[in-house]
Amino acid sequence: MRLGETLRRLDRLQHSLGFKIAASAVVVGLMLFGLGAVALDAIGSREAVEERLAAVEATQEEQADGRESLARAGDDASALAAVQRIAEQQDNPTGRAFAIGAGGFVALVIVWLGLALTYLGIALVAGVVVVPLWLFESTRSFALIGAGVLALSASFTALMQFLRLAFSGPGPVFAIARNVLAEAVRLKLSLLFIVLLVFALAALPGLLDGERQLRFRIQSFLQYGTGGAFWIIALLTLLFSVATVAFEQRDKLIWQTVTKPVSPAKYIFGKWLGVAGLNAVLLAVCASGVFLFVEYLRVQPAAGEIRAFEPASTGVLISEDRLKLETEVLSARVTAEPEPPFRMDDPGFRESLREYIESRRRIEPGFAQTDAEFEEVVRDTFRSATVHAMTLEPPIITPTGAQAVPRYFRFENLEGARRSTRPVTIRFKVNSDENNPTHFYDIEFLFMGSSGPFSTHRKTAAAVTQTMTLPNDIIQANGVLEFYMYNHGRDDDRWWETGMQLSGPLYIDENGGLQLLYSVGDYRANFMRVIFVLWLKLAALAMLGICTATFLSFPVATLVAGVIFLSAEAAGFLAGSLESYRIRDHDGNLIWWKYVAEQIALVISDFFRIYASLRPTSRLVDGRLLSLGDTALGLVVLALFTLVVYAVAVLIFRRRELAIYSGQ
Amino acid sequence: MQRNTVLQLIALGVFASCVAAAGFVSTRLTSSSSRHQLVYTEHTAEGLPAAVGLGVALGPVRGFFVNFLWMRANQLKDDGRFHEAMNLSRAITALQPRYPHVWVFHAWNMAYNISVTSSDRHERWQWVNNGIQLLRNDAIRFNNSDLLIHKELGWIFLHKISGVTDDANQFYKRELAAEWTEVLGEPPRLGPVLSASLARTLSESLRGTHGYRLQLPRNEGERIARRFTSVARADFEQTLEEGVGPDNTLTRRQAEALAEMLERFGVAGELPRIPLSQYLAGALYEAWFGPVAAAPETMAELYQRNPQTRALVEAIRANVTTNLDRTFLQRYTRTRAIANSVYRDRLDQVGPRSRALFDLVEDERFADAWPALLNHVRRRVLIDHYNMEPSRMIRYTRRFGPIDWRHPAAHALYWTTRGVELSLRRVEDRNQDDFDFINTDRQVMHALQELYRFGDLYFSYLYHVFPSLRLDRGQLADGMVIDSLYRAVPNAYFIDTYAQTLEELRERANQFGIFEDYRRRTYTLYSAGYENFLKDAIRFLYRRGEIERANYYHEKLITYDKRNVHYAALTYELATSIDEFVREQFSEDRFKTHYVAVSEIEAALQGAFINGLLTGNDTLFQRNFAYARAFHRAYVREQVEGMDLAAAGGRGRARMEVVDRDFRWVAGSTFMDLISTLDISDAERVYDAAPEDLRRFGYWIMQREVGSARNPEIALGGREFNDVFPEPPGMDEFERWMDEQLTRFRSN
Repeated sequence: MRLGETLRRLDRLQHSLGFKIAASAVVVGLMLFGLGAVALDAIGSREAVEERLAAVEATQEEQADGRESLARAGDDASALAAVQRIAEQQDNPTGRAFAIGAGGFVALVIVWLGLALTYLGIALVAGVVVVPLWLFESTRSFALIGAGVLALSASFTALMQFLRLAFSGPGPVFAIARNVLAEAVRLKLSLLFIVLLVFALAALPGLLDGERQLRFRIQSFLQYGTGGAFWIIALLTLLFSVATVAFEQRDKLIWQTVTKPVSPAKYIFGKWLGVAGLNAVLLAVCASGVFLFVEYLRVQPAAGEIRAFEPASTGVLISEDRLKLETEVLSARVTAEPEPPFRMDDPGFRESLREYIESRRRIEPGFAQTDAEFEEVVRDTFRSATVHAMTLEPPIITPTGAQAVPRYFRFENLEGARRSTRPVTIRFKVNSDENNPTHFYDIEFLFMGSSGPFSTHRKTAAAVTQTMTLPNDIIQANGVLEFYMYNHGRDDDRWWETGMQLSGPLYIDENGGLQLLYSVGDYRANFMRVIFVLWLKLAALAMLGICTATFLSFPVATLVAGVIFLSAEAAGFLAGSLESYRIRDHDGNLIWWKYVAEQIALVISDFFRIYASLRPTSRLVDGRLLSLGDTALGLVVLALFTLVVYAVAVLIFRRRELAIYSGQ
Repeated sequence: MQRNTVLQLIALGVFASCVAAAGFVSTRLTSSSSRHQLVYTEHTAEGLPAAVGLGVALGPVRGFFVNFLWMRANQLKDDGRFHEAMNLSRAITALQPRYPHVWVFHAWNMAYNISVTSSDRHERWQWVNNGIQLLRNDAIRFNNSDLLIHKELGWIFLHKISGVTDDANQFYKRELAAEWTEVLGEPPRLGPVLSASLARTLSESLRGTHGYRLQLPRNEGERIARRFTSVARADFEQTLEEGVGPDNTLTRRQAEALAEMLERFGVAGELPRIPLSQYLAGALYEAWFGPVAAAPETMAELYQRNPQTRALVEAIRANVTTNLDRTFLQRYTRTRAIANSVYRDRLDQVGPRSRALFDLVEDERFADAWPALLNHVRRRVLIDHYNMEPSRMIRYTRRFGPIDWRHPAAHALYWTTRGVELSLRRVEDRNQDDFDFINTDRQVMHALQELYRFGDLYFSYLYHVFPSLRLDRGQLADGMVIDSLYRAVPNAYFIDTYAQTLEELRERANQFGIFEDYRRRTYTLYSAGYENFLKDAIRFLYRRGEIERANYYHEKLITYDKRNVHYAALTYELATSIDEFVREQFSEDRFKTHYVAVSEIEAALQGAFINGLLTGNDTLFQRNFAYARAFHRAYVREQVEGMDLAAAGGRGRARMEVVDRDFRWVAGSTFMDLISTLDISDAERVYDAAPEDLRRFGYWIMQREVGSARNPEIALGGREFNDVFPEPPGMDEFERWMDEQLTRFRSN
């Protein structure tokens, strides 16, 4: 029998219903077996973790370093609970279960697409290439990249087939969407980006620095895996969404569509559906890859561990790298800010201000006469009071030595953080008058926790953000966190020798200079929300690209849509920059061109304020929660934006005369 | 002539003129681009990294791109997102490797900003070390003569590791000491006089036994010889008649004769007491390091010079490791440390490779091959792994004195001096503002000052690398917890170096400004620094009982012609007796300063032991010992006890706790250090004269140093250990107390 005939028979076989049912049964069976193995392993692992924790618990009283890695705070029970919570990640089967589920789903899709034997054949050929490469140290990285590329490509092609099936319904919208998908893999422009994406993602794990702490490796991978994938897909979306409409017009292919009974609304929607579907497939492939590799990295030994979750030093509950990874990176944390000393609308404050203004008017009769002027005085006074409340005064020199000055801080409504067993993080940044990077300051924190007062010191340079991981028992039972901060001055301040004090005050920015971060959820759910928001952004971008292409040529439409997209992405940076942007010279004269630039920047930053505030990738990398509320807000705003742009595109498209029969 | 021909001739003429002009300006252009650091390396033949190609490929976009990355990296650093800031800095250094500020920013981030975000000592050290490696191994390779990078590298060694501002500075110091013990081995222990082992080192070096021949000045050779009897030195003196070698050094025959004399009397145990001069101390270090600097460059050369090494290398490659690099030196040092310790019997529990290595070390066939191989590997590691030049290191040893490379200030001194030396080649009138020589030179002086204050190092490598004496394959000693000893005390051999270097640097500073010109300013930092330095040195020598030297420097201070004149009464205040001068020094709060505390306590104890016990002067011993105790009490009360909250992460060790808070331990450990560096006869004398409690310390250390040696009778001159060092009463209780102390160190 000839090879061609054999292949044809095999193809017929993989398309037959009986084969599909049998193959599906095999896949489901393997999935069940895998899930069972994971569950059994988790039970065994849980027992090992419990044994280790029990051993640690039993010996911790003898160990001076027992709670070293939890910043030596609070009582041991709290520290142990926090560690236990982290150690549970070791036997958490979610990652492996997800891998089996995702792999099984892709396999079922392949089976029912009638491609099971084809993919099996490709896998065998790939194995023949990859396995020998794996055997040699020098070529192992190529094997990894090769395997990654194959897995990602197989997933991508299978999901694309699945999407085609999903779009196989009747009507012009699905037909146009199907065409878009076909175009995506046919057009060199989009194919280039897809290949680039697959190779970049496959090569990324190999670029991680194995010497680096685990938390930094994972942060880097999340940053470049998620953020990098988003930007590549965004560029693809921008170019492809414009191209798919603009090229049809340029090449007159659109005649074949618009001469049929297809309304502009359906045409635009069909195009958008195709691009958004492609985005969904690409994001799903990338997100799965990133998620699975993060789960893999998570069970690798962190710095200071002999095995994952097992510290190298005896008597240490948890390595610092692991603690920070689990509490500051693979986490979904929310931020609390300290309570201001009083509110701006506090009646007492306003009353005392009125008295002050009255007394001032006796000297200066015209002072704060109008309501607007009064409000300005209120704002200025409140601001200076807030700045004062966030200033750490330098130590006072007394005959017996230096005396640090306490500054009181209070956080409220932390019941959730107190109930949880997870550690909390204090994040702070101080500024000095000169912010000299060679100067180091000694800051003391005195916490009035539920286990009694507890003090710890941190050494910090000015203008550098610092974090401290602490057990949650620094929060009182009523959900209030109270502590004092002391500025013990500069390290090199040898006032007793020189007779001159060098240390000055330290300032904490009232906006984000001092924060408490605590975990309220799982990183995995956060990851899913982040991916969803990224898809929303891409979908909006797709509509923007299509809209601009309805009336502009490819290069111009790309430029316009690109500028709008970059403006939206840079809106946060722009808003931050505007704070220090000066439109007047030293003499107070207005510089007109700076004024114009500022107004344009203000419009952009205001218009995209909500878009910019989403920051999904940054939140993921920093272990910050992207809440359901934020996700819903993002959904509403982006959906609204997409709808408006859609409406504009339809309106424009209706007015276009794209298929005029000239009669010649 | 046709028109076209004319045109062609004109074109040819223009072409020839251009070629000639290009030839003329290209030389100047090349030298200018080199001077302004516009080339990737100083040698164009060196290959460019792939990233440079990427930078070139980016073309004009590169500047814009780098600017963007730079802004973002700064922002990320401010936000505390260091991991991303580091990634970006790495990208910038790849795109613009000759932009020194980015290297410095990147290294600073790691050594200063990221390191302090962790409370784990190991992780902190890793970041500090990463910062050092970045500058030393990458930045300097691309910017070989950039002064800023050298200065910053020196600063990290000097401020971050040698200083006390970082909570974990004590750990950094130990890690660096362990690392350099592995790279170069333990340096000679310099006692007050030339011991038998030092005499052997000197003798071998004078003969050039290990491939390096020490050039000793004739007057230094004569000074040594004068300590011998006239009969003993007769052969040497006979050779003196043949004249002197180059630069007034000993001739080969004279050196041989001196070596013969030292060896003969050293082995016989009749070596006279030869005080170590500053020069001799440096020469001994040169003798120790010289064979490394003179080691073969390549393996082929090694095999040629010492054919036995080929078999040894083959055996190592077959049984231990294929890479003769830094990790090999680490494995070797660790194995040797175990083998030479009281835990030698645990060697059967180490891994097979270490065991195989140990067998090779013990193999008599390779006795001569080992030093040759080790010297070669050390040399290669210095060049390949540390980007250091052995020839430069030995030159600096000759120039500055006994540099102990385990000390951070030694590296600060090396890199800052190197930076200045290389930059001086590029500086000229129009670009001198780009070079910060004055501040870099000041750093050189600070490094020398540190080497004086803390340059005599006693470090226990074994207990640092095996804190629980645990090897990779199991516990060597269950429950045994001993931490490393790290005592950094003043090294008086740097006193004169400081003065000599100061004058050189002042001379240079005057070329670049008037900041250090004592003729035009009433106050210069160099003069102020030297005055303080001399005051410290005088106090130290006085406490140590070296009154004559203290008087010499006191005289020098009074007559110092470059002294600051802003405080006219100072001359009168200084013009007192040495006793009054030292007493006056403490009318201020000097005891609060950490280096003063170390210097005072150490000097008083050394004075008590050397000038009191060794010479049998009990009054001097009692006086100095009581002074050390009183000073210690005052310092601990002021700087340690009240500062526990400022302790390094609550570890119980205050940041300024540069001396232990238990005086018994301070005195005992100083006694142990001293007695273990003395020859047996002196050690016995000191031991006999010491009070009972100190004798327990002496017994404890000598039992481990000598008593457990394989052939203690050789060291003890054929006598039994307990005859030389009779066991003092209460040793059982003392052993328990020592265990507690060592456990306490580990937990700290």
